[in-house]
Amino acid sequence: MNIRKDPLLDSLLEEVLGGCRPPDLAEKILSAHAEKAHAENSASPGANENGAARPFADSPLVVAPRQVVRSAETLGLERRKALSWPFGAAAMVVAGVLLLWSVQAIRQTPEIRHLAQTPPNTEAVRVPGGDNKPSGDQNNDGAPSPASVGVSSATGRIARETEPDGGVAEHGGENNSEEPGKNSEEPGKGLGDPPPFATPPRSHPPQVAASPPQTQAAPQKDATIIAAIDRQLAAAWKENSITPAPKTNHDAWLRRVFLRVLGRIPSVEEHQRFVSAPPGEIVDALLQDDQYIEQFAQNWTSIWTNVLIGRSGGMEPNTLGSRAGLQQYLRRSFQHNRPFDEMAYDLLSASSGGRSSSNNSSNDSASSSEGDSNGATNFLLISMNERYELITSRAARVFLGRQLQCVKCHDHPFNEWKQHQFWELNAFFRQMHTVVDAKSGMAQLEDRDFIGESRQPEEADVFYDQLNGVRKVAYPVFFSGETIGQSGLIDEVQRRNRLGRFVAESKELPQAVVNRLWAHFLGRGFTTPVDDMGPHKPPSHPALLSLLAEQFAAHDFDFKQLVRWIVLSDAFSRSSEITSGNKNDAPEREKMPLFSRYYLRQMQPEELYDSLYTAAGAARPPGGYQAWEREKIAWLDQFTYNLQTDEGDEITLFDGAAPQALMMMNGDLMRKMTSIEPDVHLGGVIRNTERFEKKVENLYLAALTRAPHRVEMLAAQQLLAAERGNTANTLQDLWWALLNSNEFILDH
Amino acid sequence: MKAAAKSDNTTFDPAKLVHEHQAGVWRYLRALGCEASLADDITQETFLAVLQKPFDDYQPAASAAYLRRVAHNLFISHQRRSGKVLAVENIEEIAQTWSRWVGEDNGEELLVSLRNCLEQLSDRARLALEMRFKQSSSRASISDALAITEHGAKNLMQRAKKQLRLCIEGKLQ
Repeated sequence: MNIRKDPLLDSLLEEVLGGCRPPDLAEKILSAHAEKAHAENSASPGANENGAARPFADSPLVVAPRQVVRSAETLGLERRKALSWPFGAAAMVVAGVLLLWSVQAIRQTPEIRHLAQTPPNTEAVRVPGGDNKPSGDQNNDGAPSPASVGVSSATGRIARETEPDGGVAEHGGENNSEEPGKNSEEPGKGLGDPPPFATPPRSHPPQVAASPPQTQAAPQKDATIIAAIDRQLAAAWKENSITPAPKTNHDAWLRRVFLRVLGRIPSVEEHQRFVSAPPGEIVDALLQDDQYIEQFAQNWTSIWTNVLIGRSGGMEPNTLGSRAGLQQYLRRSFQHNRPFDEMAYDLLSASSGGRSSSNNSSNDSASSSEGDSNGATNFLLISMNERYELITSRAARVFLGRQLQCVKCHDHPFNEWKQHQFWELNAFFRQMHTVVDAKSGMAQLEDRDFIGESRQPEEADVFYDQLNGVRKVAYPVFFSGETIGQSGLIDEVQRRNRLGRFVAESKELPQAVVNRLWAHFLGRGFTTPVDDMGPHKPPSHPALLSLLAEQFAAHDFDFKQLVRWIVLSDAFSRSSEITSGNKNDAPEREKMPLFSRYYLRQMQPEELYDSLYTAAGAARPPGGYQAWEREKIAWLDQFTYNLQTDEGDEITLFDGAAPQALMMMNGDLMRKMTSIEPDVHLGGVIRNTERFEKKVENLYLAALTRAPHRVEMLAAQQLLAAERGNTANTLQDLWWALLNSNEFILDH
Repeated sequence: MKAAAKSDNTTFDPAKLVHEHQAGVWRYLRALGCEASLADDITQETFLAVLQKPFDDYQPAASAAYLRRVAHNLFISHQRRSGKVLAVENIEEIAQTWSRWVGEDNGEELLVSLRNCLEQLSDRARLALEMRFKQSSSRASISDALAITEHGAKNLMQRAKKQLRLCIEGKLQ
């Protein structure tokens, strides 16, 4: 590109004066599009002949290894390219040659080589002409030597992990066929509904969950924790002279708790069942009753899939991973209430089998030897890109609550994150390797020796460029400064396993999960956004965040326990009403949230979809969970667009704008839900023999989880009169209006 | 159901989308600083990326904005991959100016405005720009033709372009 001073005006002048007109590219584009579509239809791993996403296990995945599958030769080529392009000017080329020469010289000199083998935070490769700061210089606070780091700081679990074979046999304390992440079904049959759920096998393999964060607190009783939440929020209200909103009524609370916990509103029958039940009993039922365990798992699978890979992740035709495979793993994990630190470990360290994390851990659910059945690998497969940048930033956001994507290119201008931190985290993923199984045609994830960008596996380094053109190296260093040495040989260190341990034992993990869940239930997190935590963004209630994070860890990362604390808190039971006493609690005006009222928000599209099905009592499509998911994804697809950025950014049109309004008014889904056929709720109500007022009440309960007010009943009667007594027409119009009302679509 | 009786069953037409928006995307990329050949490539990439799944082309302005955003991101990715240094604030400023200058068409109105503004320039300024952009003349040739120094030719063209910007901005108000 020619760097012009005024490209905008110059380009226009070139067109007006120079005749440089836009070419007609339509034919090229459309023929390329047609070819691509044809190729995808015939060989796409993600779509069957109907265009629907194909289950992971039976996908004849014919995916050419992408750039992420990098051989040693490729690495060398990339390195040569990478070393040459930044130095356009001759002087810089010379500097690059000097850099190579000096790196080689360092390695060939025993004394200096010894120095280079020390951790990067004490002595990294020095760059001639650069600022000669080691990449890990920010962490130079007395980190242990490579021989001791990672092991000495870890528990006996990690020590066992690093022992050959035997130690890892202990690792699989959860060695049973019902184990999440370990599918006993054969590849290709792994995505059907799981076997009927009996009793959640709640086990805690000490190898994974036993090591709590350093700030381990004693587990407290639920009532004590809930009282502490209430106390801390009340203190903040008092300090800010806020009078909280009054308590919401039971019906509204019931609707709210169903929506937040199960992702849908309650049905009329469920309203009747719980109409006089105390909150604790309702929450227990939603979290523990067999009737709801599968729904709970499906809802949280949907939520965490979106958190991990977005709404469009795994949907691209040539993606290596399978969204359905990831969902299978998550669903089983939530069914069994798998401790969240174990899930984090799984998602970061999973392999399809063979070498790497699974070769020493045949019983490790995270690394099932059943190859493709390990759905957790799909998070990694979907998030892999050229230099493992996407998985790095996603891992930091989701599991550590840190946004590092900006520091990929430069130190963050406004907070404390540094560029080397991104690449040091990135270095943990460099042993990751994808291969396409020739027999099954499926992508598999495994770890292999990483030879480093300098092609020295004992010092397997990652290069990154600073904005000033200085090239620096990075070795694996965890966020908190812990290191694991520089070797890329998997016989010496399995980098992702170590990362999984670091994350599972970090204090950031419980904080990140608590913050995200708090925002899910209360409408705002302790920080906004929830995944941008750190000293630059102090939480609104630091003591409360710490308390919940500590207790979450102390209760073995029991996800349902955390849910229970939050939904039984006082804040969750407050009305959404803005009063003169709480009008200053206004996070929408960039003020610190005080949670003195329940913050209004629109349902998420998945919640709306499930709620419409519940309200309308419509039968789900045959084919079980996968068929249901496919139909829902196809519906969601109309609202979600991937912006094709390196970070997989998406935009959603489910924001109250025209597409959403049109869908709600005239869409196929709404037409189905407002049908008067006997197999949907409205049809049944019209056909029953109850009097008109009871029918109206039934529709209000189905849509809004409350009986109609007097004026609403009067309006319904007037409508009936206007329709000259035609009950069916009247009820259909009323039903359509209820489903299109703000009250229906808002979580209030 | 009266309200739900009608459904928009209009099928999406990729050809229509491409025909309607290709020139706008291409011009936008050129405005960001792409050479013509690169603009050709990224325009194609943009549509192929967007056409990967059904596109809800419900409003031309919204579609144009979405296409521009995808093109913008692909351009930045391309620059990063090829190791080019990007001054992001400049790119964003150009993008904002483009959005302000170009209405809902593909930039045709803007070109009409520019032609009108060119007519308002002095003969010497217009000649300098024509030599520069029509004949790709060097600054030395322009200075010879106008009997001024090269520095004077540079200043003349800079002033002319500034005048054109003001003129275009004025026509927008």
